This record gives sequence, C-alpha cells and structure tokens, in this order.
Amino acid sequence: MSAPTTPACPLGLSADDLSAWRDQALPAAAAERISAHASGCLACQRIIAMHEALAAAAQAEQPPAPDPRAWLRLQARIAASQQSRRAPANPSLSRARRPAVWGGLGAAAAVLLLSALFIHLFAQQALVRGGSSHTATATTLATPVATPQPIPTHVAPTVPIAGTPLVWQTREGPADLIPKTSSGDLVHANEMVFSPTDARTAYACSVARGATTATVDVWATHDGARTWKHVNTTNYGLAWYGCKLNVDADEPMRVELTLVTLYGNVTSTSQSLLSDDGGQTWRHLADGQMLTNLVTRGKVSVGMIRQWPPLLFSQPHPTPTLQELQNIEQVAVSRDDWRTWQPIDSAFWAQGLMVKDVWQRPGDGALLASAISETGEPNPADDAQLWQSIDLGAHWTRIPTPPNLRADGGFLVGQPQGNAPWHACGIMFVGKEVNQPTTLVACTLDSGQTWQTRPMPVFMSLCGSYCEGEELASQPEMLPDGSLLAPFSAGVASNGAQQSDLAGHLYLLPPSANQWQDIGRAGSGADIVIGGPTTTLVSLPNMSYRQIPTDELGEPFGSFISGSPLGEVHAFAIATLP
Amino acid sequence: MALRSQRLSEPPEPSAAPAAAQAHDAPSFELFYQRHAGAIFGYLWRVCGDEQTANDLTQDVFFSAWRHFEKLRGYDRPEAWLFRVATNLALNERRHQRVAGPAASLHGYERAAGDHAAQFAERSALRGALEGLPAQQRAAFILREVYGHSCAEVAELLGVSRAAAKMTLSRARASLRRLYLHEEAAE
Repeated sequence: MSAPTTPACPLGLSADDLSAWRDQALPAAAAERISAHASGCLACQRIIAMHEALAAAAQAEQPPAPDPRAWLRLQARIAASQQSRRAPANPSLSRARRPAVWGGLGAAAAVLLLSALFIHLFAQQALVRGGSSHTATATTLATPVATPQPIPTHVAPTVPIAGTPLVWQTREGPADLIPKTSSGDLVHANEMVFSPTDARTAYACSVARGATTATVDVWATHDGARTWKHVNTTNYGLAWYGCKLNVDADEPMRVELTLVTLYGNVTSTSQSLLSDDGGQTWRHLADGQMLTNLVTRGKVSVGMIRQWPPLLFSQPHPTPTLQELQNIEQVAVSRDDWRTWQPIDSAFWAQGLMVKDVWQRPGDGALLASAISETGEPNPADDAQLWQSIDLGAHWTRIPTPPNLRADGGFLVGQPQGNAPWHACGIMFVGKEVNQPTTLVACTLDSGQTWQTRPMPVFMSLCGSYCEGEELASQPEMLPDGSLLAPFSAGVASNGAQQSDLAGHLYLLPPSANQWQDIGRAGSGADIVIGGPTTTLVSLPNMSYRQIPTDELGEPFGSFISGSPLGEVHAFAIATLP
Repeated sequence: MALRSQRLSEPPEPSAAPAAAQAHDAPSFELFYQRHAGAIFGYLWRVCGDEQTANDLTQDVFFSAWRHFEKLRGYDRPEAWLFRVATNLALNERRHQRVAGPAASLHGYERAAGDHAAQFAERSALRGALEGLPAQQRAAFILREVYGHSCAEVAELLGVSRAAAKMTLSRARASLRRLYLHEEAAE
C-alpha cells in the first residue's frame, strides 16, 4: 500500500467528519448527507476505505492464549489477601513537616524590566563559534596543576565513554505530574532533574502562580521516571517565578530546591531548601542568593552565587567595574549546608577573568568552568576559555580550546558521566547578518585535546544567522555522547508570520554525523522549558515520542518539561540506552 | 456489544469481606473468571501490546472483581464493569510506562539498532502503528472497532465526554492512517 494523493472533497468533508460518521456520532441529517455524498466522492471513499481497512486489520489480530497458570496465581493472591487483611492501599503521604512559608515580595514592573536587563547582561549566551581542529597549551591559575589527576572514586563511569555512540530516546514522564493549581493559576516554571549518578531517581518541581499565592509542587521518582509520587506542596508568596532542583551526586535522596524570583526583588531574590528524605520534608537553607550552576556531591556544594545590587537598577549605569562584578557574582563552595560559602574564583578575578558557568563530574568531583575576560561582555571579541579543577577550585588548569571563541558565545557541556573526559562544544554566535550564517560550533570529546568543527544548527541555516524577531531562541543541549540536540523554534518572525513549517521539530547531531537530523516534532501546543526557568522557552507542538522500557534506561543526562498555558504539564525525560 | 446503562465508576477501596463469605463465593467466582478472563486478557493484550502485562493486568482486574463480587454478580452484564476496570488499569499502566513493549516507530525517528530493530521488523504494520498511538486513542480505537462499542460507550469506558471520545477516535484514525501508511510504504 502506498500513500495516495487524496483529492479534495467537493463538500469539504474532513477525516474528522468521516470518522464521526463511521462512529454514528453525527446528527441524523448530517449523517444522511454524508451517506448520500460519500458513494460518489473519491476523496471520501478513500478515507472510508482506509478506516475500514484499519478496523479489519485490528479485528484480524488474534491475541495469544492467556497464561494457563493465571487462575492459580489469582487464587494464591486471593488467599494471601485473606490471610494478611491488607492495609489500605495508597496511604497518604505525611506532609506534616513542610518547609517554612516565607512571605513573598512583589515584583514591580520597573524592577522586572531592569532585572531583565541585568539578566541579559549575565545570561548564558545560547550560541557561540568555534574553529576547526585545534590543540592548545594548558595554562594554570593559582598553583599550577599541569596534569589533571583523577581522584579515585567509588562512582564508576558506566556510560558513556568518549566516542561511544548512544541511542537516545525521549520518554513521556510523569503523566500524573499535575500541579496542584487552582483555576486560573499559571504554571510559570517547572523543572525535572535526574540524580547525576542514579538513573532511577529524579525530581520535578513546578511553580504555579495564582491570584494570591504561588504553589510549589515537588514530585519524585525512584524507578527511572516510570512512576512519580507527589511528595510536597507548599504555598508561598507571589514573588516566586521558578524552581530549580539539584540532586547530590552521592546521595540521591538529598535534593536541593531553589525558588527563584527571576525578575524579583533587589534584596531578596531566592530561597533555598534542602531535603534529605527525597523531597518529603524540607528545611530552609538560605535567603537572598541566586544560585546557578549548582552542583553538590557528598554534601559539598559548588555554585555561582549571584547577588542583585541596586546599582544596576539605576539608569543609566556605566559598565560595571571589576570590583562591582566580583561583588555581585562569585563561584563558591559550601561544606556546611550552605551556611557559609568560600569563594573559589579569586584566581580568575586576579587574572581579569570572570567565570560564566560551572559543571562537575560526579565521578571524581572535577570542576569545569568557562570564563571570559571581565571586559568580555562589552567586548565580545575577547576569548572564552575553559578551566578545570580537581580540588574544588583550589587550583585551576586551562583546558585547550580553539582560539578566538568570542565572549558573547558560550560552551555547551554534556552531562558529565563518571570520570569520563569532558564533552564540550564551544559555540560562537556572531550576529544577525541576513543570509550570512556566522554561527560555528567546535566540539571536543577528549577534554579539549582535539576539537572538531561541527555543522551549525539547522535552524541557523534556515533562519540565516539569527531569526530576527525570534524571542524563543533555540538553544542546543549537549548530550553525554557528544550529540547535540536542538529544538527549532523559529516559528514566529518579527512580523508574526510563521517562518518555517519545521518549527517545533527537534534536531539531533550525533558525534559522527555531518548534518543535523530531524527527529520529529515535540510538544503539544505547549511551551517547553529546557534547562530550567532561566533558560530558553520554545514552543513545540505535537510531540512525538518513543517509549523505552524502564530497564533500558541508562545514565540520565537531561530532561525537559512542557507546561501548557492551561496548567497541564507533561514531562519528557531523555535517557540513554546502555 | 451493548453496555448496560448502569453507571460505571471506579471501584471503591478494598474492604476485607468476611473470609467465610468469600470462601462461599469461590466456586461461582471461578466460573465467572473462566467465562470472562479470555476476553479481558485479549482486550488488555490489544491495548498494552505486551503479553506479560496483559496477564498481570488481567489478574488485577479479577482480583478487583473478586473484592466486589457480591455486587458484581448481580449485574446483568458484568463485562461492562470488567472492561471499565481493565481500561482504567491499562491507561494507568501506559501512563506510568510500565508497558515494556518495543518502541513504536514514528516517522522521522531513527529506529534503534540491534535487537530493537529486529523486534520491530517482526511486527506488523498495524501493531507498530497501534503502539505509536497514545494510550487513550489506542483504547478508544480498539473498543470501537474490535469490540464494537458505540461512541457513547467508549466515552463511558474512558471516563470522558462523548465529544471527547469522538475526537479521540478521529485522532486515533488519523494517526493510524499516517503511521500505517508509512509502515506499509517502508516495507
């Protein structure tokens, strides 16, 4: 059978009409009209014939015989239940211990705008540029550590090792992940995060803002996102816009939750909570800190602490000085449940560098940091660099990168796996020249020893270098095997027109591939949050997905959740197959 | 197949019936099981696409039936109740991804290599297409086309409105047309 070209029905009857007609679900008059028409309409006949063929094929399928031991097993189960007089199923979760409720702080419109400017100043840039094959000489900060020395650890690298091709699939996650919202509430942000070392443990959170309160819901799964349990609901003030989760690499039941006032108050921008029991009970950790790039391993946290100084909200404001920047943003480590933090980026500042992102390998605890010159933001021609530390920031060694990676670009780093080499892409994003694609991608699978130029994301070639007017930029994600995954969301041009019917498609670039592969559409008229509430929003309708058996779930490396404006939330966890 | 008009609702939480009464019911319950188990298993197999899951869920259905047997055996058409419970269990199963069936093939996706591809190749185009459907669409299609339930009955079994059932059926057919034709063309 081949797909025919179906002529149009002169009455304009749709497949929906014919389906309803087949189901006898139309009013009598309409049904009679279709009956009279269909016999002479080739278009309708084709659809009707296809419906009949599908029904016949379904009816022809013969199920196998049921298990002959089924009755015996059922008898045994009944007998066991009679003996045990089972306790009621689905005992309700105790939520007696809930985190403290903080009063919310309103976010004035002016603050929103100015904060947005501030965010823009420090936001990760989605795209960068790289060069072709390249090798550089390592340099060091502080006490030189010329050669990274992996620290032996009990966390063995399972998958993947550099260059190992992975089959990746998306999977619909918690269908029961429905925020406990009231009518009219809006789900502002949600996030799902896997344990870095336990593929079966993941947590999800959402923030729904209603008229007077914001509700934060937390879910947990310990079977690879097969089933989810709603473990906590807490009402907060209106200030909360987003939630960010982090799971201790050594202790999957230890999870940290940061409530982010994305465009919030100047003096108090977030609240941080800690749970040691898988999200059921929480205790307050800290106020007034916006922690980004947070990683925790063995109760030792490393994160970028961003303050919100009022000086940046006065207009006009000159370019922040080095001291101002250092005051408002620090990379720090805490060993006492966030009570105190010790900066670990002083060596960068001393060299005139500013850290932009931090990652950690769960296996050996090695840190990877990207940095730019402190003049990088106003001067994008400055280089972007990568540095590694194997002693929690006491010493840093530069990882070779291609030259001339612009500071307005950035690095994508695959979810670190065990002690495997860093997989990273430097992406240089230049500008908006129409029909002058200037986005280049250079990737390494061996901690920077070699870099290879990769094809630019397909959406860039479709849109030119930049989709003018596109607010919902398509930010690639790097998968642990070095593949790049990117949604193409350039669906709306500045004039409101649909730029491409490919909008909403997901694109994959495997490490060995020379071109991006369209792997289907995503979403169901929904917005998808990739990487948390502070990153890119994309609109991905009609998500198609494959199911994968839970026992084939490999190491986790990413996730994204879609939340529709109606509050319905679907989650899709991406997992690798071992 | 006509459904009785009785309201089909989620069975209540189990309440341990007196052991004596349960023992007294055992012979007739076995007869009840033997009469309906094959149909329920076949339905669950079609919806879940997995034999083991269908066996497990069939046991769940009849374990629930046993708990409510006193009421259930008073029904003229108890299979309606069984189908409703089976549908709920199957949808819940699919929703929680307990069904470990082979990945459905959808246009534009790379098929997995190795055993997965081999498994897939052995499957019929229709089965592959059915497995690509969302669980509710799949159940609706099977209930309508295989078991002959009316649109209203499908709505009741799925616990949705008639309009939603009509739309679900239409979407199921649309997806099947697309997926089925794609599979046929690929072979």
